[in-house]
Amino acid sequence: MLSCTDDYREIITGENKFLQGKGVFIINEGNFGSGNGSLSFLNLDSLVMQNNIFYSVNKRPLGDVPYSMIFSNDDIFLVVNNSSKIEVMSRSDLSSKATLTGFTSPRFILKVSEVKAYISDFYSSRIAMLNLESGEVSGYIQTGRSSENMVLAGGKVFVAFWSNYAFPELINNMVMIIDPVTDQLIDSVQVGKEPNSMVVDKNGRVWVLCSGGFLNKETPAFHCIDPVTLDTEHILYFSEIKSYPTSLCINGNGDSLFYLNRGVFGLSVDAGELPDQPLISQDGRLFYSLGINPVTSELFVTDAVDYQQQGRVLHFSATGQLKNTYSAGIIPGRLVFSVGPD
Amino acid sequence: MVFRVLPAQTVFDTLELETVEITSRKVDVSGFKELSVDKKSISERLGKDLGELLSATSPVFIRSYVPGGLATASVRGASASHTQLLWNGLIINSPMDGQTDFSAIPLFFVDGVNILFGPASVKYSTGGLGGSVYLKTETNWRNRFSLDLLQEAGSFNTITTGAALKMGNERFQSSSRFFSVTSDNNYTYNDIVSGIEHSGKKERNNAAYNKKGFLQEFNWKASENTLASAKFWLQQNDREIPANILVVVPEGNENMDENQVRGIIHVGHKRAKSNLNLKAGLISSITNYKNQLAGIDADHKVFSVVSAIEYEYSGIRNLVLKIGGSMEYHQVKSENYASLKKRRSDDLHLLAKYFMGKRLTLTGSVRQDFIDQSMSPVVPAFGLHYRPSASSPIVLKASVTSNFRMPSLNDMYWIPGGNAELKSERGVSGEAGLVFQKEFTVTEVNAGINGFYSDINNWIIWQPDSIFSYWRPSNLKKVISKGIEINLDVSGKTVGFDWKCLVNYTLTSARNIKPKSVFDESAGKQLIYIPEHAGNLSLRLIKKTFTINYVLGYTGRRYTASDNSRYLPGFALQDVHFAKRIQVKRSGFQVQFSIYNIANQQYQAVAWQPMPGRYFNISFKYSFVKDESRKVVNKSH
Repeated sequence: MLSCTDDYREIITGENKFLQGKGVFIINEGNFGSGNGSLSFLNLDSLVMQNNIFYSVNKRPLGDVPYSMIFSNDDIFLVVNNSSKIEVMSRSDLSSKATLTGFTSPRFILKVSEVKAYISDFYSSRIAMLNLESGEVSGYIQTGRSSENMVLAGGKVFVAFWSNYAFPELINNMVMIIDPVTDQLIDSVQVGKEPNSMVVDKNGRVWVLCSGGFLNKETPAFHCIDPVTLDTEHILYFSEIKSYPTSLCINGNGDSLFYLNRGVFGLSVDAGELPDQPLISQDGRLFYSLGINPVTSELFVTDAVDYQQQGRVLHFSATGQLKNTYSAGIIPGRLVFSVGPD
Repeated sequence: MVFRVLPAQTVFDTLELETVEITSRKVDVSGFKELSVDKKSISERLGKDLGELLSATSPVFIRSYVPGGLATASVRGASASHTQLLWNGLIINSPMDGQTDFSAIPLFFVDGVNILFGPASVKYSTGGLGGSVYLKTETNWRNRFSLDLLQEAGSFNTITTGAALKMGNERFQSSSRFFSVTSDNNYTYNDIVSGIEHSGKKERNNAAYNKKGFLQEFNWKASENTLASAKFWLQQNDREIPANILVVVPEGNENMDENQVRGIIHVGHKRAKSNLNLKAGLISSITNYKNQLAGIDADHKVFSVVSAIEYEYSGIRNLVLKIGGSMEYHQVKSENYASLKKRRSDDLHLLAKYFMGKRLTLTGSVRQDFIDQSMSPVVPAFGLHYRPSASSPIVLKASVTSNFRMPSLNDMYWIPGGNAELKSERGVSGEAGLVFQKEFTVTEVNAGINGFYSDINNWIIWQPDSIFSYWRPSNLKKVISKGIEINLDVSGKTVGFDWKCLVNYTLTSARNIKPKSVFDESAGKQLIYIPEHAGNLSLRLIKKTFTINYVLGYTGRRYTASDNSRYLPGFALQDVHFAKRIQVKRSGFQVQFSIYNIANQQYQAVAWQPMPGRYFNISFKYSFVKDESRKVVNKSH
């Protein structure tokens, strides 16, 4: 009865070996403050889900709220938000190469050149610049507010001011524009409240999805911005103020937008209005995050279930037919594809 | 933290205890399960808190992030807000979150602890879907002057000081107690974060605490049949809140400071066939929470008043009747509420106890609450106490109740997320078991075994809502909890030793019943952080002035994911206390040396929140007692 053990960590049933190949990484955020985030990989050749792969390789927990990642040459840079760090791993076997610290509340990482990445931050009023070769923070870009999602378009970096939680005196309805050569904040564009996700379409335009705020203060909308003139070309409003659209994605050709709004919705970048009917309806499931295979345009949707158990990854064809369902980690968030010769 | 006072029945019990206790053991014939914590176990831990006492010596499951930090209690698989904590009849659960912090109650201010399981909790109030814990202070009318001084020093730079001054006569007694504890609370744990190459030690910090309190009581025996008392308790708890060990935050990032005032006045009048009790109480508290990183510096102010009356009549043969009522008012001013929130909560209750011959006692009660003037569900309870024959050492007990708990004010009004549409949580629970009590020539046995069953509907949980994007409470869960409880209390004398052995074991199967969405695999699975197996054992040996006490506690596997795909392994903790007492005339000196977690077991009560390994405490206590009973004792020797 008295099973005393030296190994007193939280035990996870079902740890898998990481076998590389074409596939998609699933960043399981876990609960804020509970330390139960993890990394999964769905191998798209064998269609096998591998869970807790960071732990199984490195024999230590990934951290509290892993949130976003990029590939850079042979490395993976994985931002762990509430652990205020970036884990650097080998892309081939996930072995740890370095743990980069010194961030406040890092959120997104965007590679802006071969050697430089920007790290946005939830609590801090500056963006950190990371040297991808040395792993050192080479400087900061003052933004005066928090920063979230980032995209590179027309030689400029678009940075969403998504949450004013730590800056309650400011209104969070802005996209900041940064010159990645001079690392200067050069302009800003007003958008709707709470811009949560952005993509760049085939014409080079930036699409910003604004949820309207978590208290549903404003009607959610898409803002389409010309990256050269920074003019807002058009705005597509949702019909319901209580909608809460998230997870804007674009297909490999850059001609179709997809997003979550209690279901998966899709529209052409040339459409003049938003669809009424979902491509995939939620049907008693709880969609949390969306990803699109840039090669095949297949859709992957995560379901966080009750936020306290293994979430699911649902694999749909490009036209929305369910192909398979996989178990992932707790609160499966961002999906990062490793399918091409990038 | 605030309270609700509780209807006057408590008051009556206090009176009953104060008058009866000295001469005989109170015999409970209600059929409802109620356990008293061994008093010696309290006095061995005078510098500790209620959470530590219950964790080591009772079937109540305590969940704690760090020693001295927030400790919440679960009874029979229910949640922290389903456990009511009462102090001399006041419910001190916060109306904000419905919970109490058991680490914020110094045992130096407590003379007795009763645990009321499931159905028994409706004796005092509704809402204790799991159960209640009742704290008492007691008055010794024979005391003339007594002084207790306590000084302790322990690991992690923990310094504890206590002083109690009691004086009076057979008509009036005053008791003043002061208590203070400070701790740096930095301790090492085996590294489970850095991977296999680094299997060294790490230090846990940012967990310091500083708690102090003052408790003043006046008790006045206005006549042989009339008792009046006034009690005031000031308590201040300041502490750092450590993040889990995977989180990086600035030094001293998170802090919680609480200032609490609690007061209660009581008048009880006893006649040959009746009893009348009146009580009034108030609680005022200010809690400040700071999180530097998140830029939070928020005050939460709670003010509650309550009054209660209860009348008992035993003039009808074989029947005891009680009727009582109470009025409560709570208000909360919080930076997380849109405006001042108020709640009025009134109660009417009736109880009948019928003695059917000498062997069978039936108890029936009914409680009706009115929350903000609207009627709440009726709460009936029935108990049966049966002794097969007059001399039988075995007693059969059974009880059943239905109960409810109102959503807390946070559940309803917290911004963001508060949901004013929430329904009450509803519970039905029952228990049946056997109690064995017998005195042999040199040993005394008191043992019990019982089964329990409870079904809680509309269980409130916070999770991201599919309509709104933020965390929001809803009545989503249905839980069936059932299990077996075994308790054993054996004491005796053998070859010059006095000894006592206490054992508790609980088997708890607390299962979520209702899947919440298509992929939900939590249905049929054990609730997170509720161990299926938990128990403790205490073995005390006394030889003249020397005492040794060995305590073993076992907490089984606790799941950390609702589909039971993650868990924390079980752990066993062993403590040992050595005490030596010297009596010189009226002065008593006691030194006690304690070793906690002697096997240096590494464990976590909450994932990624490691607890300390082996640690030590030394305690000096000086007591001076001048009372009437001592004269008598001296004469007889």
